[in-house]
Amino acid sequence: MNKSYLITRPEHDDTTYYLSKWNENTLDVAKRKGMKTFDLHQEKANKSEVESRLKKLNPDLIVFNGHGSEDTVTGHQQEPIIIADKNDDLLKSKIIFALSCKSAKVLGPKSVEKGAISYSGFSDDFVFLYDQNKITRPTEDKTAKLFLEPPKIFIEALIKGNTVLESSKRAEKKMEENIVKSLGHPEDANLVRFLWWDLKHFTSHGDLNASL
Amino acid sequence: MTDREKISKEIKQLVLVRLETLPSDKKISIGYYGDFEKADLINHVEKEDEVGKKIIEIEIEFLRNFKK
Repeated sequence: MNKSYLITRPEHDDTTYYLSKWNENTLDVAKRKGMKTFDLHQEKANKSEVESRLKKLNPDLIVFNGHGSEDTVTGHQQEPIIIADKNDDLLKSKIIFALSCKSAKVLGPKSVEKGAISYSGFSDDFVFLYDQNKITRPTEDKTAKLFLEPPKIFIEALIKGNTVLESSKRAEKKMEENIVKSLGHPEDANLVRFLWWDLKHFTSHGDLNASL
Repeated sequence: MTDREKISKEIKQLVLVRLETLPSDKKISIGYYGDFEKADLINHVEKEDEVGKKIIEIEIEFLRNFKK
């Protein structure tokens, strides 16, 4: 049976615009793998739409892009879309990745308690730097690439059938390479503390040997 | 001034020096705190408000682990 992939891509500030554009291509990767894809873009990344799609379509893989807190991930215009102990049961039997701040701290383990297969994300703030001159072309931003390519590698590795653990290792390897690369360039050395911060807080809960 | 206060002051100065060397065309996204230009960040660190404290926290954690 065909696997399916749902992604939320709010776009209401620089941060969400960058995350949205950097992960847009994962939809093509999923389609090429024969997966059904559901793209909740801009205004469609709202609580009502997310809840409805999760109930009706039951996607195997979910990627939340956006802001977040320890127990919440948000959608367009910061609307909370998944909240621990409120509607996290909708994540049951799914592999989840949240490219957002802090949600892997409480929402991650809570959703696994409610039956999610795995929940990957960041246990503290996800920090990235970007070039103001590339604001209209985020995927051409080489500074942002250091921070946003590893999460994309994680998503694509999952889509290609790797386990959560193997996908994490690939993303972490790229993060480590970017730290080493930045240490060798004086103009990028300032970025290292932020690259390291994201690596330190990237984490997964649940069955790490699971795959699509 | 206690040793702890001295260290805090020195780390704050270190963070400010680091931020001064950041290219002016770069912005930083710190989750729900928002997106900041270099001058904004320096201001937040000087005031030691919530955003400033976050930047200082990242630096302290980084320095702690750098040796390891």
